[in-house]
Amino acid sequence: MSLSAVFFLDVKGKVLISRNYRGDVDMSSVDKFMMLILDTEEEGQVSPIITHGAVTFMYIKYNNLYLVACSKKNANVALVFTMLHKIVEVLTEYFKELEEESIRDNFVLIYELLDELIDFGYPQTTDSKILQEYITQVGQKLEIAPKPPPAITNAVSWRSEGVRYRKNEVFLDVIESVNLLVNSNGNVLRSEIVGAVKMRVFLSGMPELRLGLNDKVLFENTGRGGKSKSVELEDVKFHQCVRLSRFENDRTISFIPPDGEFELMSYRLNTHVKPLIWIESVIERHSHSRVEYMIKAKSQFKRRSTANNVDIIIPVPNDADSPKFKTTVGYAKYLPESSAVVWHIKSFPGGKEYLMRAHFNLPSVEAEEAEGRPPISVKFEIPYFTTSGIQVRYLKIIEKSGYQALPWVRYITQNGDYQVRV
Amino acid sequence: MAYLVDNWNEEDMQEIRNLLRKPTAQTEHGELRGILKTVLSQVTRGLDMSPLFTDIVKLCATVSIIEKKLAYLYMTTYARKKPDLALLTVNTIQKDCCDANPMIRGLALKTLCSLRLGELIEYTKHPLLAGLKDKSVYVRRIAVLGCLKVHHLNPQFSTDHDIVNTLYEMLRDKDVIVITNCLMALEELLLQEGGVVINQKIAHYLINRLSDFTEWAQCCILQLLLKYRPENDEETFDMMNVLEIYLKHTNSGVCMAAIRLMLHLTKDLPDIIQDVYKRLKGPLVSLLSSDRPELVYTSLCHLEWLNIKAPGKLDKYYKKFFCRYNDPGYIKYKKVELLAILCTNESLKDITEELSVYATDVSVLLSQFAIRALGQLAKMNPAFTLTCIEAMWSLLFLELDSVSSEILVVFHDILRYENLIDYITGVITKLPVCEHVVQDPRGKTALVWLIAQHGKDLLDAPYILESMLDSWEEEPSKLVKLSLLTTTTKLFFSRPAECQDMLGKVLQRCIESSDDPDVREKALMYYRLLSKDVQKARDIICTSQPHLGILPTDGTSSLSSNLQHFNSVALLFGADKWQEVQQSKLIGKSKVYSQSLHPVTVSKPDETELCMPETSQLLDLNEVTTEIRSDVTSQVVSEIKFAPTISLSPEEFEGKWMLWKSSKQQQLPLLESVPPNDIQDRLAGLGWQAMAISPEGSDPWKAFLYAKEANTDQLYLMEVNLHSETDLLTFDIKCQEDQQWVTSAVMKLILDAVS
Repeated sequence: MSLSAVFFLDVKGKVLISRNYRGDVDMSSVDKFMMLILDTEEEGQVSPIITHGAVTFMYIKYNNLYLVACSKKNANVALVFTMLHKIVEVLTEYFKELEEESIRDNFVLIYELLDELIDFGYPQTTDSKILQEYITQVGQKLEIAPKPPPAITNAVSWRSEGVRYRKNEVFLDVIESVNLLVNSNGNVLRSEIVGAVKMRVFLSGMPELRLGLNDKVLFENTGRGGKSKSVELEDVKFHQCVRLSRFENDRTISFIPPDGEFELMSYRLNTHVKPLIWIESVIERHSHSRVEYMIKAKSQFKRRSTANNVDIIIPVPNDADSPKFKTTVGYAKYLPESSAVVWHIKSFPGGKEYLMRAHFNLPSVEAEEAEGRPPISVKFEIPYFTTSGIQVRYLKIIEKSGYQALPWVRYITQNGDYQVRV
Repeated sequence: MAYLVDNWNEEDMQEIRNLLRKPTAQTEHGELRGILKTVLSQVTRGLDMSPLFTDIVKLCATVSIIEKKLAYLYMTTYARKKPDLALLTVNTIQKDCCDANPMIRGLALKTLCSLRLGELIEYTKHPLLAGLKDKSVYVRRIAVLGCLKVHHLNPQFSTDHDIVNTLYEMLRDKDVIVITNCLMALEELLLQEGGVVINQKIAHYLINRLSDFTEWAQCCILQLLLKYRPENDEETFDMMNVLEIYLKHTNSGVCMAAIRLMLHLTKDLPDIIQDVYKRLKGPLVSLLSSDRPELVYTSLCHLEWLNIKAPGKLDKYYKKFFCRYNDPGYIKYKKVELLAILCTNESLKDITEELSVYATDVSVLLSQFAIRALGQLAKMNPAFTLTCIEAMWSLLFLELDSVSSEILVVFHDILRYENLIDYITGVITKLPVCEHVVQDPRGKTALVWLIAQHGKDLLDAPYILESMLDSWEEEPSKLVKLSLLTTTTKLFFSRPAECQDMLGKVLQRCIESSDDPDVREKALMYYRLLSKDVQKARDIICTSQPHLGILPTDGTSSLSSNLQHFNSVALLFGADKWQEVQQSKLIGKSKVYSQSLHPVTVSKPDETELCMPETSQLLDLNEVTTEIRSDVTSQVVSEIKFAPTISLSPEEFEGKWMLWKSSKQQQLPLLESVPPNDIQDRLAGLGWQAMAISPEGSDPWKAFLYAKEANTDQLYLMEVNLHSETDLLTFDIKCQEDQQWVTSAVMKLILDAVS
């Protein structure tokens, strides 16, 4: 591993802030970074790692920023990329938006954090909850000195002791995102569900939590396979607080949660499901005069569920003008800045079919540069519903002080990367 | 006060200085912090703020922790510029190292070690050693890495104070970050001996406690465990069982490191490694759905690797490799490459359809990648050929310049293969359609070449050529002109009646009015050949091209499939590029820069071939490249320097001498007798130090020498023999295997010094 330095660059490649950890690279070598990116881009050789002499740059792009790590060794790539993302995560927890301006406003804080996150190129404390205990934005005098980080002696490096809440509550959200890719002939090219269990934990002390799901493997193990509906989860990944060995043994998800918000687990389902919202489009383009759209949207889930705030985003040519719309439900709006029409349907019950027509004029002179053909994308949210049928059977909370805590569970299915090619 | 002044001049500097010197500044924290922030923001912008050093040094004694941090940060930036002034702060820092607050102690210790000043080491000693025993974990963590920082300044420090043993003992610390830091520090401290020793006890301890460590530490430890060799299969399986759960870790760094260790453990167990391949595909495939493009790219590169190792395992996942509209370019290109590799009879239809969609993408690069992938598929497997060729034909009818050009380039390349012979006529009949579409010089060159090669079957060939020749004057590209010339000549042999007139015109034009020497020369050569003997000219110019069999899929280069590159930068770069990067560590920077900017383009060889079909000329090319290579070596030589003083114990020398294979041997006949001492002196001047030397006058005279390359820290050992009778000097150099490519350069340096 060992990162030699970390840089924050703006979109033009100017250094906004940098931290030299090992002093073994020339800090000015980053000046070439932007040029290298542009050059490799032209040749189609661009990749998130590039070299300049003996230095390897690994970068991620966030908002309009480049976060660049450089190393002289044959570093562990996945680690470097996740570390860079971690830096973004920690910084956004401190000041919401990470962008050029917030970096300028907070650069002292960023220096402080960079100093704690990594020492001599090796990651140190990265847990933002713990960091927030001793790196605070408010200045302190020595009399009220901040607490130094506690020793990480057991498996609970993510939670510090002595957390207190008057009302002990846990919120658990099961969120399933549907990724869909449909080609222009209406064939489903890819359909998958990425699920996540997110938690917001407001519990005192060191609570011990146990989560029960209708996991197929567990049901089969305990001989309940036939009776109730169960779900086969693939590629389950857990937050580091979950005792993985326990899960491996008896499929119990037991953990001491971090304080506040975190993602407990994620999973993937490869089962082929009917696309929840099906889009058919007919586009008639008469060059130099007009283009007409007919979009049909069909909800293919159970009648008792309802999709909320459905946005169907239909890309139109850059130079289209004079929009005219007709919808059977909801309203359509032209967004010239993103060259798209958004058809908004506030509530879309299952088993329904709606229609929208749009008409645009096109200029008689053709635009010089060719345009891409972005797909139609759909945004939606279906509450109280999961595609996979995953269910939380119980969430047990045990703390030695014996308080009663309330668990709240919510299910949502939403769009992930939902694209229909035209 | 303005925080961001664009033009910072002496006046502003003075203003800051005055503010810093104001006595009130010491008391009003808010104000002082504002000033320090201004100064540091200027530092960040790259302005030299070192003139303020004296004033800021005084602030280190401030009581507020934030101001202290800012002042210390400033000092670490400029201490190297003002070593004598930095010395003044040592007292304050040392005092802070004994502060009651562990935050201050840690901060001070970190600063002290980060000043990077050799002079300060003796002042660092006490606080650092005390820090290792501090009761606060925070300080201990910093102290451990502090040892490493000091070691890089002066390696003597760690031997003097027995740091290595202390750190080994600290592996029993209760804090896991301290333990990780110790491991990392030891790994670097003991680099020469191969890093930290992972014996069975440590290995078991680490692997059993692995879940207690932070995710980053887990990555590092999993990497260190690669060094450990389990004693028997049972132990291996125990380790595998523990490791398996880490495949479920959310941090993909941990996940990848665990996979690598599993692969490493099972590398001699062929049955089980197949099982591991099966398991690792799951986490990698699910990474593809990540919204972090860098990680997707990493996983794509690893899947490519996996496919080489365990072919066929990924085929059914091909739909995962379909591009999303908003994927960054580099991911799309990689996906397209992989689609071509993963294609099977079942997925062929889907994949060619998908590639055809990309082929008409607005991004010309993506379109080129997709068309090349179609070509690759067509030549790879006879079963795919028909579908791919048909897909390309239908793309030709779209009459898009860039698409048609690329397809012609691909045809030009693949029609040489055996399984495509049947399609030549089909391709040829499509050429007239392309003639007015293709504008791109590469496409034109390919079109003309195809006519030259297969034009005898195409009725329209002379007409196409004629219309292209009509625009000769407007044609900017030399390549197109050269290939037009060749094609006209070739076509003349197969269809003399229709082409004679045309050929005459072309030759005349090239010889009389072309300003390009290449075009003129080539035309003259054709002209001379034709005027001597048309039959012989035909034999020379129109040689038949042998058809090539199906090539095995490339990408199986030994290095890229090497396990040691798994989850490292090297794998993402690909083997060749990585080697280039490694070598560039020695070669001058500017040179490397130009190299990395201009990677070799794939289409080059075809173009040369197009213009020079004679093999003899290709041989010439080889010579040229050897010349270029020797040039590079001399570049290396200028960069190799040996560190002036290093120490090596006789035991170490002997151990390495026995272990390493000799990588370069050389004999040098001396023109006149040279006393052995003289030779030794000259080598010592280069930086070679003697380990053992036979007394002067013995025959043969022998010397064992060693030296360390200053840039790469690589050790070289050498045996020198001098036979006084024959005046023959022999050298035998040994070094680590991966460094052997440098030894020629090292040898050259030695020979230059001695002769």
